Amino acid sequence: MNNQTKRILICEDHQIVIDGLRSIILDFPEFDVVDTANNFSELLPSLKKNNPHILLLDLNLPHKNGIEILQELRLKKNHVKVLILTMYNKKTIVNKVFSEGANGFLLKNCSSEDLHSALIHVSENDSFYYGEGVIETKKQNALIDDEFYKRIRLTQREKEIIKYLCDGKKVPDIANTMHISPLTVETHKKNIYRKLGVDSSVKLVTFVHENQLL
Amino acid sequence: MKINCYRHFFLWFLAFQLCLFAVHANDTIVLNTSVIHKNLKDLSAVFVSENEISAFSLNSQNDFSPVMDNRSFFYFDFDVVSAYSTFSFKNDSKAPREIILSFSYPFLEDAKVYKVVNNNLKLEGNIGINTLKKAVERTWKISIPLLPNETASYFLVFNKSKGKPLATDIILQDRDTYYNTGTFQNIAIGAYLGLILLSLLFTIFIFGLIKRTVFLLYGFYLIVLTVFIGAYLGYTNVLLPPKSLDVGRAIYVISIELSTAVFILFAQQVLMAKTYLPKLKKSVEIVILIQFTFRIFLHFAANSLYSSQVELFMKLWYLTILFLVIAIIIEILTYLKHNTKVGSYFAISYLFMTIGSILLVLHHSFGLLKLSFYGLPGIFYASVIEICFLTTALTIVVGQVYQERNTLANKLVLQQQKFLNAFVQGQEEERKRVGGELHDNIGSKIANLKRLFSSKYADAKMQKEFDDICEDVRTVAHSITPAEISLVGLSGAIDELLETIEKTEQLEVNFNTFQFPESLNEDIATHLFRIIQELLQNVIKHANASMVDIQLFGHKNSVTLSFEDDGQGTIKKNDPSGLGLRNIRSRVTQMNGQFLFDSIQDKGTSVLVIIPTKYT
Repeated sequence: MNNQTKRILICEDHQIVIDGLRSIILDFPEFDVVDTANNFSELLPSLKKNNPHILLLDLNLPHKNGIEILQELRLKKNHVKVLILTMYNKKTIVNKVFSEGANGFLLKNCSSEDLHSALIHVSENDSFYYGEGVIETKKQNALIDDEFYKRIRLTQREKEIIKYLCDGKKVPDIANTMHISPLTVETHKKNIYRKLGVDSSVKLVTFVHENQLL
Repeated sequence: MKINCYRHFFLWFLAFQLCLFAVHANDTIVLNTSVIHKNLKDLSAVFVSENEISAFSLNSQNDFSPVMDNRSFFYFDFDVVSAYSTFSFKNDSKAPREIILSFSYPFLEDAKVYKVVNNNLKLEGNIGINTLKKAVERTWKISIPLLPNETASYFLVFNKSKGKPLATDIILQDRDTYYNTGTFQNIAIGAYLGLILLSLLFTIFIFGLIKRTVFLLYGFYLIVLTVFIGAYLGYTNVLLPPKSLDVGRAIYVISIELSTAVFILFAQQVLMAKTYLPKLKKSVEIVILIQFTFRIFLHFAANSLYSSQVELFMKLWYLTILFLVIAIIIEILTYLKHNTKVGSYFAISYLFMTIGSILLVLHHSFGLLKLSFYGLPGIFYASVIEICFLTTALTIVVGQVYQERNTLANKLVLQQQKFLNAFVQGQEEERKRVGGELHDNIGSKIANLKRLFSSKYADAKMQKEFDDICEDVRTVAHSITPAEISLVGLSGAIDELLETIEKTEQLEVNFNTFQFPESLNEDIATHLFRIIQELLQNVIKHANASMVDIQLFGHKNSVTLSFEDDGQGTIKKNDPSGLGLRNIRSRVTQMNGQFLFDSIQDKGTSVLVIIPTKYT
C-alpha cells in the first residue's frame, strides 16, 4: 500500500451506489476505498479501525441522518474530512452542512471528474468544495444586523392587540371589541411577550414607547 | 298485626253497611243533625212507567209500577219514559232548613219535585234540558225549603225519551254541605284543567322540537278529552245559552265518541302497533271508524230507527267496545314485551282509562256500579291518572329519542374525525414512502447509471439528459415530501418552501421564528409544515393578499404558529368546500392542539395553531 494513497470510507445505504463509487474510485490511483458502512452503527467502529482520510457521507441514512452523524463526529473531535454526497440540492442544506463542519458538497449525479476533483480538493485544502451544480451560499452576515429590526417587526393583528394592551384593556374586553375569542387574544399576547422579550404589561408599555413601535 | 287491623276495619264497615240498609225505604227522613248528606235512593221507593204521562197527579200513580233494585243510584232502563219517587221530610229543629237535591247526571231531560199540600201537588222545582229556560249551574239541583217542625211528603218525577237509559245519583244535602262539596269539586276540576293545559303545552313544545305526529295526536286527544270530561261534568249547561242546552248533549256524544276514537288511534301510534301487530291495527282502525260514523249517524240522523232497534244497536255497540278493549290489551302486552320501562307507564295509563271507560258504559247502559267520589265521576279520576302517566311516558320517550340522537351524532362526528385522521396519517406515510423511494432509490440509481455511462461514452448531451432526469426526480420528490425537515429542521424547510413560492407568486412572505425549538418532534414539524403549505395555498388561491406573516413561537409548554395575511378575509370558517381547512383541523387534533381562525372582511385572516409539547 502506497503511503501517498488516501484512505476513503463510504457511508451510504444503497449498495448499488457503493458499488458504482467503488468502481469509479478504482480508476483514481491516489485514492483507495478501505471500507463501506450502511449506517451510523457500522460507521463508528470502521472509523476507529481504518482511520480514513476522507469520509464520503450520504445525508439520507436510516436511524441517524448525515447531518446528525456529522454533528456527532465533530462533537467527538473527529476531524476526518467529510464530503457530503447527496441527492438534495438545497441552499438550506448546503448552509447547514457547511456550518456543521463538512468539507465539501457533492450531488449524487456528479460526473467522475467532479468526484475526482472533489476528493483531491478535500484532501489538500481546508476550504469548502462545492460540487457541480451545487448552489453556493455564504453565511449572510447582513441578517445579523437585521436582527433587532426583525425582532420587533409586528404584524397587523399584533399591533392592534398591543394598542389595546397599552390602553390598559384586559384580554376579555379586547376579545369583545375585536370579535375574536379570548384564547386568540391570549395567544397573541403570549406571542408578543415572547417576541419583544417582555413578561409583563408594564414592561410591554415601556418597550413600545422606547422603540416607538406604534 | 296490620292485616288484622284491616280485617277489623272491614268487619266494622260491613256492619255499618248493614245498618244503612236497615233503614226502610219511604221512611220519613228526620232532619235533626246539622250536617245532612244522604243518598236519596236509600230513602225512597221508585216507580216507573213505559207510557208517557202528560201531567203527573196523585191519581196517575196507578199507571206506574214499582221497581225493586238494589242499586245505590237511580237507574231507568231504555224503555222507561216516566218515573217517580216519593219521600218525606221532617224538620226536627226549631229553625227553617234548606235541603238541596243534587243530580250527578248533567243531561237530565225533565225532572220535577212536587210537594203534597192538602192532597194536592204543588210544584217545588223543575229542572232538565228540555224544560229549563234559564242558565243553570254545572250540576242540576232542586232546593227544598222546610219551615221549623214541618213535615212534608214529596214526589220526584222524571220524564225521559225512549232508547236512552238514565243513571244518576241524587244526593240530599243541607245548604252548607252542598257548597262545601262544591268547593272540593271546583278545586279538583281546576287542578285537572291545569294538568291538561300543562300537558298540552308540553306536548306542543315537544312537537316543535321533534316533529312527530304522535305528539300532535296526543295534544288533540287532550283537547277532545277535556271537552268530553267537561260535558260529562255538566259544563255545557253552564256555558251554553239555555235554549240550546240540547246541543250540550250532542257535544257530549260527539266528544265521547271522538275521544274514544282518538284515544284508540293514539294508542296505535304509541304502542307501535304498526310494527308489532299491523293486522290488528288495521282492523282496529276500521272498527273505530265504523263505530264512530254509525253512532253519530244513529244519534242525529236516524233517531227513530235507533229507538226501534235499541237492543240490537246497543249489542253491536258493546261488541265493538269489547273488541277494542281486547285489542288494546293485546297491544299493551305486545308492547310491554318489547319495551319494559316505558311500556309499563303506557300500560298503567291505558289500563286506567280502559277500566274507567268500561265502568262508564256499564253504569250508564246497564245501571251497574256507581263510581263517583265527592260527586265527581270515576272517569274523571281515571283520566287524571291516565294523563299523568301518559305525559310521563311521553317525556321518557322524548328523553330516549334525544339520547339516541345524541349518541348517534357523537358517534358520527367521532367516526368522521377518525376517518379524516386516518386519511391524513395514511397520506403522510404514503408521501413519505413514495418521496423517499423516488429520492433515495431511483435518484441514486439514475445518478449511478450516469457515471457508469459517462466513464464509457464521453457524451455531453447524454450527461445533460441524465442531469435533467435527476433534477426532475428531485423536484417531484421534494414536492411530495419535505424530506429536508429531518435534515434542516422545520424553519429550514419553510425557508425552502418560501423561496419557491416567492419565485412564482407575487406575494411577500415574512417568516420569523422566536425561540422556536430546533429539535422539534419530526411528526409535529411535518404537520406544521403541511399546515403552512396548506394555508399558503389558500392565500394564493382565494385571499388576494399581497403580504403574509408566518411566525413560529416556542413557549414553555407549547409551540405556536401564527399565520396572518392582508387579503380580503372571506375564507369562511365552516366552508364545506374547504377540505384544506378540515385537513388542517385534523392535523391539529392529531397533535392535541388548538386551531384558532378568525377572518374579518377586508382585514385579512389570522390563524393561530397552538401545539402542546411535552419534551421541549
